[in-house]
Amino acid sequence: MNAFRNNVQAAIPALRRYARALTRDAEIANDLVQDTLVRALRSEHLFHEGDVRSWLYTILTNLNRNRLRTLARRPTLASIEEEDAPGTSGPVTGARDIERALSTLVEDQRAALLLVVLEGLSYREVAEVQLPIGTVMSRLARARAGAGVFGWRASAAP
Amino acid sequence: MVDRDAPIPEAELHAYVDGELPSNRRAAVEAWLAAHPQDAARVAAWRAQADLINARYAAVAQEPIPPRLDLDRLGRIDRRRPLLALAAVVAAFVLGGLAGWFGRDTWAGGISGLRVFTADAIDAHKLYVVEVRHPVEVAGANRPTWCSGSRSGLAMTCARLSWRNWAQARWRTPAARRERRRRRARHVRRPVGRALHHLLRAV
Repeated sequence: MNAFRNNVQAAIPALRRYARALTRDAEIANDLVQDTLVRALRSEHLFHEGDVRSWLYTILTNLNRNRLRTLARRPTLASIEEEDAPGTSGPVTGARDIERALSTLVEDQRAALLLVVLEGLSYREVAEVQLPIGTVMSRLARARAGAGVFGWRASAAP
Repeated sequence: MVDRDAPIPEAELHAYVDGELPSNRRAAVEAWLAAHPQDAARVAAWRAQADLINARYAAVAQEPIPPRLDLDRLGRIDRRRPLLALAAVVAAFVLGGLAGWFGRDTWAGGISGLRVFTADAIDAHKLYVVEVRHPVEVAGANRPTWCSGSRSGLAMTCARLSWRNWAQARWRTPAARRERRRRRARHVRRPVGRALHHLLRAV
């Protein structure tokens, strides 16, 4: 196993976390991560230098954008069941609100917010995923303003 | 020292929350927040939001990785797939070619189901197309007389489906036996009929 492989391997847990928050569905998230890994392995020769992690985030974000675009063209078959068992991680109170608030965001804003807040990427690294840096800032600002409409206004004012 | 009145752009507030603020701006932002509770509340809300997101999703990274995300396996699938696909394409092409070559005489000139069906349809069309009074079909009771004569050149009757008639048809009843004897006698009496009788028996 080479260094590239090791770096990809090390990024899998974080990719799963990001994909789960991005899609709020465990199965779709795993599908996305799997597609991301396959694509990364296939185009290993295209990767020269830089951070493997943000490269993987880029692939995953783009794959999810494509997925939503395809989904928008198809008639929707919404699942009646709840996507995730509530409260499997974190406090039960607020978990639903978070998911609902995230789901109200535009895809690019959600990605920007999660990359900064959940994955701890720097603005510069996020800018590699979604160019340019001014766009990242405005998306982050709008995500925070938009998501604030729901849920956490009350819990955020102690 | 710090200018408390210089307004802080929102971008700097975000950068402050996310730890992206240059250290020389930190004091200015903190002073601004201390003087402006509305902005301080916004910053607190953003932090709370970040905490909630992390509380909800951070544990996903601690879950065991599903086997289907195993890198070795994914790499194997990726390498194997193009060869398999190529092999399948070649095999399908060769098989199709061979089947076409060796089977080229199987259907040529033979009577296919479609051809029989077409012939039947044409016959039915020819039979009915000359008919003006019954453009589609003739009612059951009239059909024998309609079919007989000039249309088909045959005299047609309908079989009466009773036990007596069936037995009579098989020469089983006394009347049928008498009839059979009578016919035989007639054949014997008429040379042409007798010849025909023997011919039919021979066949």
